[in-house]
Amino acid sequence: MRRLVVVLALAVAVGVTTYVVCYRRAMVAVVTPDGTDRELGWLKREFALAPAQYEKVLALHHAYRPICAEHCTRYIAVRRQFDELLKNQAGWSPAVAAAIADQARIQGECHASMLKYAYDVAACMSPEQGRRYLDMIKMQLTEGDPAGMFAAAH
Amino acid sequence: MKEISDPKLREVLAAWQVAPPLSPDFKSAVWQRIATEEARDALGVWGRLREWLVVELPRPAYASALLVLTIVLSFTAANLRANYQRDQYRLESARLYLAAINPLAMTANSGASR
Repeated sequence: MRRLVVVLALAVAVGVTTYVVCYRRAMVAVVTPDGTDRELGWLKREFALAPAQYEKVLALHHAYRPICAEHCTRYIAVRRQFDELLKNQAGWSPAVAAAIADQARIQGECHASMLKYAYDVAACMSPEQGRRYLDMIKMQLTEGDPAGMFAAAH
Repeated sequence: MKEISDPKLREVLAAWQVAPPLSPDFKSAVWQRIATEEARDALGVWGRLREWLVVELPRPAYASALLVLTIVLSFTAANLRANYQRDQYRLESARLYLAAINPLAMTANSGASR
């Protein structure tokens, strides 16, 4: 009985050790807590960016962030204005039409600036990776989620 | 087989009988074996399994096979889980990135956090 207990304990120890070592080795290249933002670290790996390419992408990204934030602020303001109008007005008015037009205009500007940024980023990548990157952006704009692209990759 | 031509020798051989003496514990050994087999039959499936685990499994051949099987299963399970986690991580990171560059997604997030 003692020998059985020893064999079983050994099997459990070997099994757990193998599992932990293999899992960590398989994940070490994926999750790298190197201080950079998770999404940018992922972008670098996913699109196989060389250090020089990554520097360019990083510069574009940092330049784009305030523009993106400004669009965001404007869109929130217009959206709030529209919500207030809907709450306070009982019927149709030119102000409601103007608020809808404003929202649409700012949405268009958001899409345009995001696409411009995306084309600039894609231009920093190799042609093949740039195409993949733009496919992801287009999938996000048309389908609302890039899950299909990553599911298709496997 | 060679034919024995000598009639006298043939007669002696025909009359020859071998009667080896039984070992003193022959009978008890036979009864013991019968009792052991009967006891094993009475154990049932679980009893036999338990006996196999206690007696056979710790032997080097079975123990080695168990360790190899454990390693293979652990390796496979770890890789399957890592593959799944990698795919999830890729998709989540892509969503995070797209949310970070899409002003409309940012407004949705700020709306949700209010």
